[in-house]
Amino acid sequence: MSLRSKPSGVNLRTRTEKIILYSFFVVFLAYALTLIMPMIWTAYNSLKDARSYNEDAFKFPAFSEMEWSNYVNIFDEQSMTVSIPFAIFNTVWRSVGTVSLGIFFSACTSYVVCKYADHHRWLNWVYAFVVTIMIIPVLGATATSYNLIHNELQMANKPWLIWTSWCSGIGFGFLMQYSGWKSLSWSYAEAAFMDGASHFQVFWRIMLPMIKPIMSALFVVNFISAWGEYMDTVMYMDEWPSLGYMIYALQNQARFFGMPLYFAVIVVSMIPTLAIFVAFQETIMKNMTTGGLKG
Amino acid sequence: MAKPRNALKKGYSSKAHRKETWFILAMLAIPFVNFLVFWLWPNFRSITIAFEVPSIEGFTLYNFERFFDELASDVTGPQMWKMIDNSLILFVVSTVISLPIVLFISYILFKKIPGYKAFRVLFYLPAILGTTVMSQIFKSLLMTGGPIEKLLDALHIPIDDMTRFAGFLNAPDTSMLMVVIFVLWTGVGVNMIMFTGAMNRVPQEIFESARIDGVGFFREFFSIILPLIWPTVTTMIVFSMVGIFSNASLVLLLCPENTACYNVGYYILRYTLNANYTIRVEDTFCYPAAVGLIFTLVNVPLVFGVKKLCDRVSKNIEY
Repeated sequence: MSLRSKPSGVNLRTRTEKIILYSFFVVFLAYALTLIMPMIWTAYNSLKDARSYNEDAFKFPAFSEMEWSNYVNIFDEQSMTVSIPFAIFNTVWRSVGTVSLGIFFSACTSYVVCKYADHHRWLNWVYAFVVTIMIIPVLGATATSYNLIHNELQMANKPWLIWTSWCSGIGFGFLMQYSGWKSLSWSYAEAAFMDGASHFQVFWRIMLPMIKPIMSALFVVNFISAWGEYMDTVMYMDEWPSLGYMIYALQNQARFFGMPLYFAVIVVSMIPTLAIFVAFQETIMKNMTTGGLKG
Repeated sequence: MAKPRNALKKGYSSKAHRKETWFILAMLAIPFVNFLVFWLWPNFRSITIAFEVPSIEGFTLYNFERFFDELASDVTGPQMWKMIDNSLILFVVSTVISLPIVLFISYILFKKIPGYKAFRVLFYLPAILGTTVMSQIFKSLLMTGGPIEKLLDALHIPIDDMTRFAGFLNAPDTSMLMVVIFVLWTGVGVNMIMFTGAMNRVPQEIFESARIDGVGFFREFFSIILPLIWPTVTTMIVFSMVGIFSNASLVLLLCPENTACYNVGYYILRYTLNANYTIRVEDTFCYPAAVGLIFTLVNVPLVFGVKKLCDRVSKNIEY
């Protein structure tokens, strides 16, 4: 912190403040433990056999008793009744697809709405409109969206069609990228226009690369939340189930093949998002912010 | 607010204007079509089919009558009111209780409490693992004969027979409490990231000069941080309000068979999913659409009222 460089050299943290911070430290530690303990519990129970889990769910298994084969068995379609590799495949293409298209199209919409509103006043109305429909709670549309996808468009369970519903260009990504564009100076674009660049070239080659940090933070955060997605599977894609859906659906069957196998599926599904988060932590922390909702 | 001034101002011809217009339209084309098909059409249809019923020709208020009859009836009424109550409880817990707590947690992390980096990661853990994984782990912990039951037994905390038999999430007395605990337990993550992000954008000099003026820990939070990040706070409050009646996934994940924790969103979802198994598919979506419309009409003024109120508390500040 920059406080250190203060010439006076006094510690600016007061005594009371220290006491407050340390008492919160204890509370935080307790809360963190409630989060981490169930994870550890899940992880070590995934290495037991079903019988020893039923006997004692708390006991940590001895190293020699650990059932590493659980992690092989979950990929066996016969014993699980479902295909986990297929679920992983679905989760990957669906998460990457929905997140990339969502971010790309919200980059397009937020860019023109932010940067061209001076000459095209109606874009201010577009902005106000986008913000307004984002905060209109649409409840009745659950049924009609379902009907649209299933019956009117016949898009349910068709991966080569469903992606069209991901190109909305509004939502949280719009807000975040809008504030990103706003903090970018237009003079880079001006210089490029002087050199005869087209609008699209300026967007694609000059402006877009500059909000890459925001886009990657958005990508990581949205990817992490898309990874566990299961509602779309329930609604439209039950023949292309995601891992999140498997975890949701397998819970009821776990009694048949044993909880440890179920926990192994959970652990496998946790690894990618954990790894991605650890790798991109700094990017997320620095770039996640939306500001206000004007409009 | 300073708007970016376009360089083309000087030699800005109508030809250049037309070129810009084409570029704008090209950029907005696909999202616009997407909006028409996947947003406007289903929403428009949800309003019109709310006034339709399979057996009756033309315009009818039957669906609305049915809803209010069920609400007033002695048989179905209590369950319906419970479901509305549950939606309101979830709203109070996630907006009124959880958000301020998370805001304060973010402030303390922002003040660089020892180990703040580790805490930030750990508190974000529920968001990393996702609601699905968290809810199923939560469910496994609360299962009949599961770890929590054994833990309570070991601590000699009495559990009544009904709860023991059904499990905490399926017993009518404890299920909603469990849902609330789950919301609070996992609710720190994303909001914390947003709040910390906003706090980090406040210029350091403000804190330094405040310190020299002797501003304390709590005053710094209420008089400096809170007003400066208020736009972000407003955004989070508004988004949380939008979800009051649509939060179906929580029930679906935690206790889909237990009517004691049903809420409005789940009620609509159940009707929607069941409707597809009947013969004339489109018609049976009428009732859930009508229920959705009723609660949208309740929710919209709430959202916009709260937004207006939040905006009035302090005008948007730019820095």
